[in-house]
Amino acid sequence: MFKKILIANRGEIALRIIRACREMGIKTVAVHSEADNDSLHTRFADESVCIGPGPSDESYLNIPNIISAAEITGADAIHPGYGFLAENTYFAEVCESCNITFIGPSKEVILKMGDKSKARKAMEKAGVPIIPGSKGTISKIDDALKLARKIKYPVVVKASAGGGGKGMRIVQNEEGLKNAVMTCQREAKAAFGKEEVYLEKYISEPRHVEFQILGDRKGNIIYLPERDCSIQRRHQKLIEESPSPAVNSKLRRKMGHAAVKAAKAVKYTTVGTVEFLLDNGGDFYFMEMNTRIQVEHPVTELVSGIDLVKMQIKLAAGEKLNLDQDKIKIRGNAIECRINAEDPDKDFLPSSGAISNYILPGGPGVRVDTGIYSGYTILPFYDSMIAKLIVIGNNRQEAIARMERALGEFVIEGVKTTIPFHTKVMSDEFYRRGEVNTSFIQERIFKQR
Amino acid sequence: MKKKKSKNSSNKKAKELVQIREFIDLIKDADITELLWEKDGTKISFKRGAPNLDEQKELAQKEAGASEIFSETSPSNLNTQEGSSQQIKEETLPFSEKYTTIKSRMVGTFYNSLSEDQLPLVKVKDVIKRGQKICVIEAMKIMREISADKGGKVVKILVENGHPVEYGQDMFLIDPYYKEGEASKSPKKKPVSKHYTA
Repeated sequence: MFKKILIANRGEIALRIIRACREMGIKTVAVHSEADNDSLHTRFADESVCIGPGPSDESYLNIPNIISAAEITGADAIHPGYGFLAENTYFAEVCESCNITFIGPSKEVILKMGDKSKARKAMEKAGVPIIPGSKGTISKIDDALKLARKIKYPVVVKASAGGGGKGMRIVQNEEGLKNAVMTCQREAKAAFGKEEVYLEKYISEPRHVEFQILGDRKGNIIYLPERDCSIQRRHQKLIEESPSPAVNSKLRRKMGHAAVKAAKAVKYTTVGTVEFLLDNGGDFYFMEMNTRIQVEHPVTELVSGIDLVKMQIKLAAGEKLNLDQDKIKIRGNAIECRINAEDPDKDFLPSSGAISNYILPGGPGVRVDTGIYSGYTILPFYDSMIAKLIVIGNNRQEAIARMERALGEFVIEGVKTTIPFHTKVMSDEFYRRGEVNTSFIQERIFKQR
Repeated sequence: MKKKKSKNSSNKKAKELVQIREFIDLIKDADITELLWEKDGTKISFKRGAPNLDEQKELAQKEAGASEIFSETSPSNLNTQEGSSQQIKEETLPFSEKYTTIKSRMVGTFYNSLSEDQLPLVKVKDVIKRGQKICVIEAMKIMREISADKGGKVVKILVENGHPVEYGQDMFLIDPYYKEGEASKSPKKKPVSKHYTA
């Protein structure tokens, strides 16, 4: 097992990892920017190293300074958290060359799964259902038009290197397609340095259902109960729950097996997530695989009773996966609301400033993962997610009631937050019945105003 | 690099200190000698340089007449005495004005010489020029020669040979006003008086 882990991240996820390490008896090193001198991860870790000024590209993305910090503190592993360097192949490679364990998959796997058209090919080969679309990237407009005629509109044009909804265009007809391919190529070139785009059928009103998988070096891979992340705004997840109201045990098994197949195809050896789109008819399609610990991991932890961060650390240290697929049980319904420092009344405009008053919700079945505290100043440099409120209930109804109750107790003053927005979603009749899809926020919540 | 530090001091007090420090910086940077700040019945007045005693007394009396500094938040030790702002000024200004530091812009291990068998690049009391090699920082097995980003006389070397440094860590305490053949002295600024009301 590792003696000392450096956490190359900030905020709630850095704290989450520090907590897991402390319980496992592993020493921790926090790296931080000058702007994060007083942040909780800096304070709670056993050691801390300042690695640069506030802006992320000079600090949390500064690979030489992070590696040096690991060297001067004698850390034998680096946990990248999510975002920042979590899916950076170069970083994984540098860690390896410096004899520091990167807690995540190998650079080959990140590379394969990070490139969407490569991932698609690999999944098709492994027999995982994929959305009909181009085989690899498309460069000629004529090819795109021909294919679109075959798979039928609407279609979607996506950047190979994109993610999180960036570099995507939904197209309804031939005219739109011509424009979309060109714009998408130009945008992809500007944003990701690669102008490669691909085309696929657009599944309307799908749900986003994803499976947490765990793998070890011996080739054992299992799946955990799914997460439904259909509540999104502009392809950014806002609310996640487990299990999905749209998945019965038969479908769960079927999708779970597909997820395991996907992971086996790339010899996956750590924690990861296989994302699917699920349509009204119960058909599902592989979307992408995330090779990191995800923001929404706590809902799976509450439902399965498995500590995913500890598991990730153990697997990275080469331990065998000691979990039996048949013994994985669903222990209730869990919901997570991402609390962002944004003003829902002003098109989710980020809100920064000092937290003047702060009261955490509590009581049965409530968990809060956050890096903020009273007096903390929310900085404009970083992600606006400031807390994750997660609840578990015996059933979905109880979980919703508990979330409503916890949202009501949660006081964050000094900045605008999305708490009122979440309260509104919880009280929505469609949400309560579990009738949601990825356009729920757009179609249901925004149109009510 | 720092091991665990305790940060139990009251946040409010720290915040007030920061605010006061900001005012001090403001006066310093703006090249002015006096600043008067007034908001919601709170009044803060700073003076720099060496005003005559009468003026100081007058100011203290004025302040005592006005509501307490930071009365909105909480009464702190800082403002219970008359002329407390002057006290802070006198304690912090001369030092911060006289000396400056050369900070590390990277994370790594600090070495004072180019190699083990060589003499230190810089010793205390040396006068260094901007751009002069002053130390070596090793990061990812690469030795990087670090040049001074400012010149002056080395007052103190703040990192021990072979010890780690983090980003922004002070490495050298420098007297930037020292000129060869002259005694060290602080810069002379033309006194200007300005009042700011917010």
